[in-house]
Amino acid sequence: MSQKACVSCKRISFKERCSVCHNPTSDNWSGFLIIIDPENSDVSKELGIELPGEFALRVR
Amino acid sequence: MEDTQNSIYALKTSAGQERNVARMLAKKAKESGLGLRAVIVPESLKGYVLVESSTKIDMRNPHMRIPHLRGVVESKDKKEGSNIVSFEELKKFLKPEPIISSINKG
Ligand SMILES: [Zn+2]
Repeated sequence: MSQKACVSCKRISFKERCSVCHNPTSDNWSGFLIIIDPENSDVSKELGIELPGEFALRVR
Repeated sequence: MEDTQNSIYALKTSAGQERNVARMLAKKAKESGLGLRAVIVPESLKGYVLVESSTKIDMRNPHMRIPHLRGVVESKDKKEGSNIVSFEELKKFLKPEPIISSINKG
C-alpha cells in the first residue's frame, strides 16, 4: 500500500481522504517535507502549515 | 512578522536514503532537543536533505549519528555561517514549478 498526499493541504497518509482537511488524496505526488515545530518554523509560515507532520511538496 | 533565528543547512546522505534520513532526523529532534524545525527533501536534489534549524548543525553531536547521513555541506570559504542556504534559495524547492502543465484537468 503506497502513501498518498492530500490534494489540498499536501499532508501524507495512507488514507483515501485527508484526516485533517477531509479532501481527497492522490498517488501522484513528489518532494517530501517533515514539519517538526510549526510554531517556530519559517518553512511552515511560508507554506501556511499549522500542524506538524509529513507533507508532499507537489501533488497532482 | 517576528524575526526568527533559524538557518537552512544542506546535509549529505546516501543516494535513495533521503526520506529515511529525514524521518530519523525528525525522530531525533523530538528526543534530543536539537533545534530542528523542518526537514525538506526536494525531488531534484539527489543525495541531500535540507534542514531548518535554530542551532548550528554539529556532526559531532551524538544525535547526528544516523545511518546514511554523511555530513553537513561545508562551504569552501571558512567564514562563519557560510555553509547556510538562503531562505530565498530554499523557496525554489518549496514551490516547485510543474514539469508538465496539466492541460486536461479532469
Ligand atoms: Zn488535507
